[in-house]
Formats: sequence, C-alpha cells, structure tokens
Amino acid sequence: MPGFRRRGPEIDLDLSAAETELLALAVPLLEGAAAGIEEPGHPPARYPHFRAHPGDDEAEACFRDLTAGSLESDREADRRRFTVSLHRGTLGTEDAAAWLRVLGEARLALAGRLGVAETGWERARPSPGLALLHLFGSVQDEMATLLLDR
Amino acid sequence: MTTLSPGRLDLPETGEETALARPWQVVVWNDPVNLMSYVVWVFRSLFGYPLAEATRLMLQVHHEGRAVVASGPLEKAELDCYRLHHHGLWATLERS
Repeated sequence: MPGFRRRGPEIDLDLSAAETELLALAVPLLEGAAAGIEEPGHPPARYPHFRAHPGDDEAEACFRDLTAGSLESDREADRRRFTVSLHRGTLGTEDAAAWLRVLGEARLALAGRLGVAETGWERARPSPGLALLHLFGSVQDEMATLLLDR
Repeated sequence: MTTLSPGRLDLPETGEETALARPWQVVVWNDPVNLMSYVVWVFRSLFGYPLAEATRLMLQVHHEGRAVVASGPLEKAELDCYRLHHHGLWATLERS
C-alpha cells in the first residue's frame, strides 16, 4: 500500500517502482477521457462535462463559453504537476492538491469506462480496471486524510 | 409648527424583481465514485468550512443526494460551481 509522510509543509512519497508506474497510468487515462465523450448539442450532465444550469440551455451555453477553456487548461496543469512530482518524491501543498484532483478525475474516468453508475460497485467481481480504481482511491483517501489532519 | 413626514411610496411588485433579488445556490449532488474524505477536503479547501461542517455537508450529499454548499450572486455562484467541477464534483446552480 502506498504511503506518505508529512515533513513540515511537504509530503514525502513512499512508493515502490510498481506503484509509481501504476499511478502514472492516471494521466494517459485522462487524456483519453478528454478526447471527446461529448455529443454535440447534448452535453452530458456528468464527468467530464458537468452542467451548471441543467434546465436552461442558454445559461448553460454562457457558462460553458466562460469556463470550458479554463477547465481544460486547469486540468492539464494538474496533470503536469502530478507527473513531475510523482517522479520527484516530495510534494508541496499545491502538488498535493493537484494529486487529489488528478486521482479523483482518473477515478471518474475509469468508473465511466467500467460502467459504474450506482453504489455497490466496490463488491463487483475483481478485474484489472477495478483494481486500478481501488488503488487510485486508496492513495487519494490516504492523502486527503493526511491533509485534513493538518 | 409643521414637520416634514416621509410620504409613502408604494412600489409596484413584480415577480421579476423578486427573482433577481434572490441569490443563487450552489448544489452538490451525490455520485457513486468520489470518496467521502476527498469531498470533505474539497469543501474545506474551497469554502473554508470547519471540519465538522464540511463533514456534515458531505454526509448530507451522501444520504439525501444533494446539499447546498454555497450561495450568492450569479457570478460568485458560477465561480464556485466552476471550482467544484475542476475538483470533479457534480455541482449545479439554482435560485434560492
């Protein structure tokens, strides 16, 4: 199980080479998700294209015009920060926040591919995809708990 | 001696003015994937809630399916909604 140790404002990573390799899979997974699940004219309400105004197409169009570019560039910045810090072994506060977002986003993307739509998926038959979902979750949970204890 | 007394002015009541005055609410919806610890961290990080309040809101989302986590004018509410989307939470806006 991956581990983290707090050292002042920073977090030291205690990851094996195999764990680092598995965590690195989050980024290509997300690049695939961003490539376009969206159906023109019918943006889905859930990840990766959340709707802010589900009952008002005009307001939703304005919201998306204002935010879509920023959302994608913010997500890309998180992925770059995640990749760089994954191999550095030490996380600053902003790195840790980016990790939480990237792992959360990777879990949403993976869950979408696995067809997870309801609670109870944790008890489904084991599979490589489910194992990765659990790994991302355990790392995210450990880091969130560590940050909440600050 | 006379005094000036304010006259009474009856303003017309229109539903539009009332609606414009109402703030917007930012609603977070339950999903089967995001972890409880992560959602608490998001509420604390974005809105500065104490741990107990962030946990209460997370549990409200979990048990009731949704919770209002912020409110205010449209511009602020949309910014809050955007930040929640950036954190992978399903958030929508509605009039209070």
